[in-house]
Amino acid sequence: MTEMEQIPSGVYEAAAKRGITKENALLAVYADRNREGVNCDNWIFVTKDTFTMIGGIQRIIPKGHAGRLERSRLEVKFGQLSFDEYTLETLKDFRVEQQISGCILTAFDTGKEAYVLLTHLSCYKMEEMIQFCACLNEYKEKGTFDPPKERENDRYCPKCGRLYPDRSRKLCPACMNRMSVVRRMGTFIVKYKWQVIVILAAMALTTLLGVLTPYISSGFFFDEVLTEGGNFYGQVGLVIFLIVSTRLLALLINMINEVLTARIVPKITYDLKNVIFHSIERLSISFFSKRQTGSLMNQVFWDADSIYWFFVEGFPYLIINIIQTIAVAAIMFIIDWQLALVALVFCPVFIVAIVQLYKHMRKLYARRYSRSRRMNGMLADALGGVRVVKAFSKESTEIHRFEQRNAAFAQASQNVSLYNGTVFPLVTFLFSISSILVLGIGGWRVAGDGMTYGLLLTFLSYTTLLYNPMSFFVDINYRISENMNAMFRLMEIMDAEPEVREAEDAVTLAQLQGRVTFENVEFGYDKTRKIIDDVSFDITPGKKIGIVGHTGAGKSTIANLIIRLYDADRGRVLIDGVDVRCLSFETLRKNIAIVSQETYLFQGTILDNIRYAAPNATMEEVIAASKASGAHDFIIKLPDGYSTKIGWGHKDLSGGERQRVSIARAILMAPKILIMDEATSAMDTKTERLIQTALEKLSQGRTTIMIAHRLSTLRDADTLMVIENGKVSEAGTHTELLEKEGIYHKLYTLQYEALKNAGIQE
Amino acid sequence: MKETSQEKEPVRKLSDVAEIRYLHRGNTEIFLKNGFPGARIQCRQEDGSETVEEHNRIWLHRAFPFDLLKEYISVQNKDQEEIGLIRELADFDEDAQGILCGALEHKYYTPKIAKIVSLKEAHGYSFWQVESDAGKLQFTLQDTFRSLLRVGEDKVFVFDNYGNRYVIESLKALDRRSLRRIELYL
Repeated sequence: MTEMEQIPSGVYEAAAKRGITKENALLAVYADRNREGVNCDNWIFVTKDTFTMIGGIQRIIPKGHAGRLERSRLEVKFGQLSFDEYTLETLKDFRVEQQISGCILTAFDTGKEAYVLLTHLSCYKMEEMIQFCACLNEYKEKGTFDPPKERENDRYCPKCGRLYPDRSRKLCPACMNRMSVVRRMGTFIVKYKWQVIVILAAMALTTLLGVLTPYISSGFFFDEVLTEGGNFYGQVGLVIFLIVSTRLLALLINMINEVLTARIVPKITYDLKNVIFHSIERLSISFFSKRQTGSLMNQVFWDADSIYWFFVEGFPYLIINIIQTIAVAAIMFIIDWQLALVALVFCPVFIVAIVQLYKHMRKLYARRYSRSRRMNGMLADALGGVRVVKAFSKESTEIHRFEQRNAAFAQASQNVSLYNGTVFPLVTFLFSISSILVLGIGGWRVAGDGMTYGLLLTFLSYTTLLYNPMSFFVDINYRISENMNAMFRLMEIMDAEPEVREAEDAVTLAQLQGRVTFENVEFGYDKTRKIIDDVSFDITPGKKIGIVGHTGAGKSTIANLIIRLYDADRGRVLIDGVDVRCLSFETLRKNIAIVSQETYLFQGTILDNIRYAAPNATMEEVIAASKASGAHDFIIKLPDGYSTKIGWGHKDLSGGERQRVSIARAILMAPKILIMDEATSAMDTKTERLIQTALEKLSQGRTTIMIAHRLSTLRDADTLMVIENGKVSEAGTHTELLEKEGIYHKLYTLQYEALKNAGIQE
Repeated sequence: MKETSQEKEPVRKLSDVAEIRYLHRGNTEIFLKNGFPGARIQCRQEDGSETVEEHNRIWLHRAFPFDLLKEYISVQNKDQEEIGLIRELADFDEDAQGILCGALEHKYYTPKIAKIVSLKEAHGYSFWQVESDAGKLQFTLQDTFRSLLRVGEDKVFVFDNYGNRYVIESLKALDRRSLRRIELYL
């Protein structure tokens, strides 16, 4: 929402004409589309009596003569195009509905007895509009409202005016300073600063030797040793000794460098991977539902390497290459400034040429990469779904599909090879032009005005040294920006605030009673759709509760709220009378266990999986838990029993078996509250019954919440709650609900009939 | 071998098995109420009697939004439950078609990109400035590769990081510079 002070003066003037002033306006908000859905500046004002929309276009006009566009010289003019006014009294229940691309704002018009469309808006403005609706609805209900804490302006980058990509972080990737990223990431290697300093020193020495060598092997050798009258004439042995010793020194330094690098590289990447993984693990479940697991894995592995490369190789080499280039150029000027100019004159042309060539090359590589991605994706698809392919005898279609992708990839690879084949010789040629120039002009000088042969050779070597790092300079810019992306991604994860956070003064309860209470709870995974709508109930400790309802009614969401994978948008979830937001994660995780539909077993043995939450459990306890969950019988038949390895390439368990192992895992924890979310859906009725009986014995003194589709599973529950459209529509025991002849009765009869027709009698 | 289903009863067509309620001018009246479409549907009960189901407001949803814009449109109530299916808009008279088309256009309103003025990348995001039928627009994509959806050979949908959609109706019709800017991501 917008504060009145921040409304552009033009808009403010237009509003004032309609009697809306800073004093009487209660709320103001900006929508970026009008009622027809067209982009425009649509301002909404609410006063005590009216709801007004003023639509128009803002134009930014430079004041006075055109010149440099400075902020103070800009004037915002507002051209009003439309005006709509409603009596606030007749409107209620303001809400934002999501469309395919954008949203609409609607309200219930009591005069017309129907919802009316007020305006369109893009998704950028959705959050603001939802806040606005909440305030307005609260105002309509109570006569007052709590203004939201976050100001609208806080969502925009003050520099470029763009919305922050992630609203929880005030960070604009377009305006971020590269150095600040580097500085922050640099903290990772501060730990190894001594090693890094030695590596840098070694690199500097290697460079120095690299600059010295041409002089010794050419200039010094020809002019001082081989030329008559030279200071060391005839002392070939000395030169050989010098050459060998510089080479040996370079070798030694290089070895030290390599050894040190080999030692710290794994350590730094290890650290980085740990930091990344740690940062990811601490985030709330909502973070993961927004991202793909694959890209997260990519992040952990590649980004760490990439960040390491930047600090240990890229950045230091950049500095050393810069120093080397400057030093070489300086030496060349000292030796012979005219010849140095000749060598350098071609430099800018060379740089421009390789910048262009590399640019094109990167495009070709990117295309090859994207085509290989498409090909591999198709391959994974066809191989993963090979059963389906065979079953529908679609082999030839798949072969054709593969051929197409493969051809596209081959074409892209060919382009890359062709380009490499022609461009690199071209670069070498371009480079040789400057050498030839130096050789030619230098040759005349040697023949004519007394430039020595040795000096010319030294000069030629320096020309090579000067041009060598050019390709590096061109490519480093690209590589650095790639690394920056990696660093930025890492910072993004490190800075991401878990949506569900443990309170600072969280209470740890040693022993829970097991009471679960919902007080007017509202919740939705996305803000425009409530999944749980004003739900209240109270579960007495030790009771067995069944939750029934259609698919998508919100049953599992209730479970997610109890274990606090998400926080309620409104209302409270209480455990033993304490708000879950005030309880420590330890209390929640130790006392509440959930077995959900999606059973996940980690790679490892069955024993490890059962003991996941209670690693200290004895073998006897493990067997007892498995017995109770019905898992023991199948486990004991496996050749390796409890030590059977699950996972790729090993024994794979069926859906029902996995569920039984998960139940054993939950039971072993001996939780005070046990939530079974469709935990027995993949089992036959007989096995389910057996587990039920065992659970019954176990659930003495524990609160059990069972969510199931199959109503027979829940028949014995103390209370059954029927959830429909996010609300509790019925509650009572099985018999009570049947007598009521409501939704439960309908569901039960349907299922009963279906089972009877299928010949299954329960 | 046990008796097959063929012996028991003749093979039924798929459309006989799946009960789909198609809405058309014969059983449905479409009206506009406060800017939203509503519907009055005649239903034949099992006992042969006829009742009228009135929906003050209906929600429309294209079943094949990329391929068929005026066919197979699901008509839903506020809980997103399907009330019926429109086989094609032409099954209704012109007035009703106008209302339905209007509602669909509102719901599927997607700015059409005519020109890509600039496209810059920084830190894994790409920043776009485009000219569209809705004026000049500026938006940000996170992971450009995943944010572009190519439909057919020529059409591209662009999804920004806040869930807005834009469309490039025809790549062929795009000017060379614009095309060069996005070529890599396609």
